[in-house]
Amino acid sequence: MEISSTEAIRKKIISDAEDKSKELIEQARKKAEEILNAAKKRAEEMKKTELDQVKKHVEDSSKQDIAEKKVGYHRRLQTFKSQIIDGVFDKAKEELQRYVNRPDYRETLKNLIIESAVALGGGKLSIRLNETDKKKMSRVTLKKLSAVINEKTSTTTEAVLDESTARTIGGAIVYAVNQQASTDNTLEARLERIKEDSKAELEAILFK
Amino acid sequence: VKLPKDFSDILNDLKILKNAEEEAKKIVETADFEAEKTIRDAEEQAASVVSEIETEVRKAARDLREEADVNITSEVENLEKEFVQDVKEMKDRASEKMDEAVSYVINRVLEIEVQKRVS
Repeated sequence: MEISSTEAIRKKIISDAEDKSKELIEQARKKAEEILNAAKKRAEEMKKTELDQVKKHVEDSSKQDIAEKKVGYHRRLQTFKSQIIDGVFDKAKEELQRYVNRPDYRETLKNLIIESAVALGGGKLSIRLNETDKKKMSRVTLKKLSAVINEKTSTTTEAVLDESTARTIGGAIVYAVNQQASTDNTLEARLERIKEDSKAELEAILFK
Repeated sequence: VKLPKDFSDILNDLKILKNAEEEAKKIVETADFEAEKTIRDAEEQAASVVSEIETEVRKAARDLREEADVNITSEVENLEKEFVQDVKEMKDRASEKMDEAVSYVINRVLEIEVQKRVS
């Protein structure tokens, strides 16, 4: 069967259009597939990144919360320990208040004075005591004390009672009159000094 | 191949070709429209995929936080129990050793250097 040239051209036009159409649709299908794949890939990457970030944030935050709690508990524990140690010193002070009424305190008082006087190097000394202890310190006792200090420091020593009264449960504040120096050897001052440097020993006794 | 015999045949042929051109144009336009729609649909689907994943991520993040909260609460409760126990043990021990500690302090207070040499 013969085909007219017009019909052939017509068929070619339609055929070209159909080919073009197929090509357009195929290109679109490929592009659509690319778009979808890219979106899926991007979404999966975003999911991984965001979840990793959230996991890290949650982990960091949890660790920090726990660490803060631990620090808080440690601080509270230290506060309790300090309170207990303060309690030890309160009790010790009560014991010392009873001790100063015992006869053997008299010897302790003398030794506290000697210790301070030796530290100051002897010489002209003024000894400040509380009202009760003043009564225990006769002129004779002071002379004897001066002699002991003299012997220990190899310095001529004259110890006299200070006119002022110390506000203390016991012990003495000794002034070196010529040197304008003094040592506080009251029982409270000694307690304070011990409090400073016996923390480790007391913690070992009380908490270990 | 037959050649057109007269002018009317030529006109007829031209008409046929013009119609074919129009038909071809329509075919391409339809395909173009369909291609654009395919891409638009893909873009919508892509947006939907991203949106679904975003929702999934938000839910997973919320779950992670909730799980972490539960773990922290449990760990804090354990720490609190340990702390309460530690405090109790510490207080019990300190109470037992209080007299020893007080004696230690008193001895230190009365530990006078000269006293040793004098006595």
